[in-house]
Amino acid sequence: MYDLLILGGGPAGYSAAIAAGRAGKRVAVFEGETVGGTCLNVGCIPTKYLLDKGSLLGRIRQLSGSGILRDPGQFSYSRIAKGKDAVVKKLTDGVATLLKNHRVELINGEAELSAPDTVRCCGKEYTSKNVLLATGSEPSQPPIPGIEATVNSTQLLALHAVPRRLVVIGAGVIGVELASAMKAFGSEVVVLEMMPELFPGEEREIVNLVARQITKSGITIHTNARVNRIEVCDGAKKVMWQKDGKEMITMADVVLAASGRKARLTGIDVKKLGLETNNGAITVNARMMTSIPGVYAAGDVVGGWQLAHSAYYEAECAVADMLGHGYDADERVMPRCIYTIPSFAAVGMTSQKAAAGGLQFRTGRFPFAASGMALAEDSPEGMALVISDEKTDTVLGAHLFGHAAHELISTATIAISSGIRVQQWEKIITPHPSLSEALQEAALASIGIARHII
Amino acid sequence: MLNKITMPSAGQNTDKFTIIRWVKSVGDPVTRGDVLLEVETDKATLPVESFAKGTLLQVFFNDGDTVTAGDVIALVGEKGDAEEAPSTPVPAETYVATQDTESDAGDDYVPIQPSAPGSAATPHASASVKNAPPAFVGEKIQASPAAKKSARDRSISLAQIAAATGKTRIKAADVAAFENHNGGQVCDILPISSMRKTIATRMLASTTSIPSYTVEVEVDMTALQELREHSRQTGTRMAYHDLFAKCVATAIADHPLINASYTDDGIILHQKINVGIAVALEEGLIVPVVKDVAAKRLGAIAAESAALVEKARSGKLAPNEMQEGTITISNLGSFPVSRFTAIINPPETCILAIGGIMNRPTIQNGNLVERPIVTITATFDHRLIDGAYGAAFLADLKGYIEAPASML
Repeated sequence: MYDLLILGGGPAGYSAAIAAGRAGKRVAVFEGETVGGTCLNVGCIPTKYLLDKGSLLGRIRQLSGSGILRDPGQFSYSRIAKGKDAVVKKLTDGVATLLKNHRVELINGEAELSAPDTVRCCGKEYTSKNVLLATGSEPSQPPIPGIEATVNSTQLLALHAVPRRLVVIGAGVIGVELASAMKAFGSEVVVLEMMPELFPGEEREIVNLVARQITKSGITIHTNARVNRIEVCDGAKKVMWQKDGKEMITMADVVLAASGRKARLTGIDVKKLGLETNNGAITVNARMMTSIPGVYAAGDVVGGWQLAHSAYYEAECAVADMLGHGYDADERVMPRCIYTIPSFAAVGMTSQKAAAGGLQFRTGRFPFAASGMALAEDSPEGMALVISDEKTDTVLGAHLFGHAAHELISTATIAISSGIRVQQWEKIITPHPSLSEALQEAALASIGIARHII
Repeated sequence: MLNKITMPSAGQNTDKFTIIRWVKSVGDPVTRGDVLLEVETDKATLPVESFAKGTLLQVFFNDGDTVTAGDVIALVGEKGDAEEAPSTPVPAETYVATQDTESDAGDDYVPIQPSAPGSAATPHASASVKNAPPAFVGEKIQASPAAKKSARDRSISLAQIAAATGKTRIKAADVAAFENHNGGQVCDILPISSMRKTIATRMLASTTSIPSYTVEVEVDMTALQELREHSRQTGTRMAYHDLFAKCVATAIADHPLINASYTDDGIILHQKINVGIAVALEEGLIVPVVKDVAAKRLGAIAAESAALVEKARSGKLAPNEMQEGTITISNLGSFPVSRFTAIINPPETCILAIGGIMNRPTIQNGNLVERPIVTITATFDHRLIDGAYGAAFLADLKGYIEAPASML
């Protein structure tokens, strides 16, 4: 008899296992492929490896353009792919070790939740008081004729060669990140987005900077572009799409379908079990419990943010409830990053959302072009934008675009979740020179006291 | 003792050669003079012989590869020498070894800085597959010798097969499968042979650098037909081009500029009249030259031209047999062609395009008679030959063709 059975060894699954194992519980994790889930194997980690190398190549090209470097040499994509695979292996081995150290049993196989307290896997049956569903998500295939000629993100990451012409269907985080990486390695990239705007939920002004930078890097993005069909012609792919009523054709060697991900319910017969779902994802309450008592769910399978750090948070919340010291999940202060080159990061509210909510707020901006550190690093592109509550002077949201945005955002996350007032932030000493100053200055600008801009 | 076999220059007007096939294989014993491989130049097939005796230890290029004169293409030595032989030609400077020196066959280095904005590196494709770019950046299309030959024989480009199959290592079976599946597809790409490339270059150079014009003259072939028939009956086979060559050489005597070359430093009057005879081949065109036509009797000219045409058709013309022409004759008389215009063969000044024999009604002495008529269209270099000069030459040529006895 186990204390906790977990379906899925990805971020939600393994972090729940570690939390429960640390508390001395008897835990088993069922994983059909490799621990680490989408994130470690075919998501966050491999794409960031590629984007880091792509960003480096961009840097070298920039310095060659200014004459600092001459005849900069060559690079091998197959070696980059091998490096990526090695890092993934190191991390997945690390997770397996962590589970072992916490005496968590790792069972390799596709599992099925046959009853609220029973898991069947590889011909054996396991019972437990509590179950955590952490089966994650998978790429969804849009109903476009010829979609079989496309690859998903997992398949694109598996290539050891860079497509000469790449068409990306969907300008979400995955589409835009992979487009940026492949562009840096030499692909001709076209991105086709059905909606009229990119990243509709994020701060408009900063998203516009991202879109401009993407276009400047040589990627062609079309919004309001609907793909009608894909045909194969002599090995190349013919993507037929339309925009403003005009029919267009773009040829590609590889077409990436990145129009979204859906909850993966393999091994979970929601009808038979009587599990409540919404829009294909498993419904959970504030303590991450599903409609069946004792059965919890966390991570991509419950929909929500679809971020690995959200999965960690939700999994630990679920385990806390199982252990008797539960709390309501509060994911309102959620940092989200888009790893374009340079990156975008945001936490908290956008000014659009604040306005829609009738809040009175002030906006402060600090361009990276005014940052000594950004100039010293030859990375003047970027902007920090902070909105603060006009009445309480607390920080409502921070939105960044520029070098190391994904690192800088954590300071803003702490500022928002701790509820400090901008005047208090002013008294906190930030090292000079650093890009973090730009974030602080943007906050100060929102109350009119920024140092280095007028 | 290890002997490096280098690609000889063979006196061609190009230093690039395409390997057709290796006659000897690695491990075969060779003696001095043995043919190791056959290469194709711009105009002919040439054998490459070994100057050394021993065993063929290593070859550095495959069938279908392009090599440059001076490249080391093989090693011949004694079996024991193999240990010292490098597996690839060693560059002058070696580079600093990195930690992971394991070099993968799949390593695909491309320049960090692309040569043109937005373009990736040029793939290392051989000349014949340059037309269709590969599907992946930096991709080298590799094919077995059998696959390369099969693709060449079927006039299919390896790049096309790579794009269709997604493979970068192509086998002979892939070529055959591609051919079977490819009926009725939209795109067909033929590789460009050395000969085709040379013809294209020379024709373009001629038409863009020589201000040419044409002059036509109709000649009555009755006398020449009789002469040819008479010779045939007495055992000497003669082609019309032999007779034309002799008439041309005689006409040139009074019009020496026809046998000259215009250069910025002066007009070169060539001493000898060397007549090039254009020969059509399946894959193109070649012009063997009969030298010093003025000094040779018709029988000698006929024998020599027959031998040269035979060699041309079997790809065995020697380089000197295609050089030093001063005027060219091109005859499409075996087709129902009434007349045509040819392109001057630089550095010559004139080319004569000869149509077919057409039986036509003519007026002679007030009477309507049927005569065998040929239209000769001359193309002249106007830098050197003005209209009247060219026409005068053609008038004399017509005279000799219609009354060959006047050449005596």
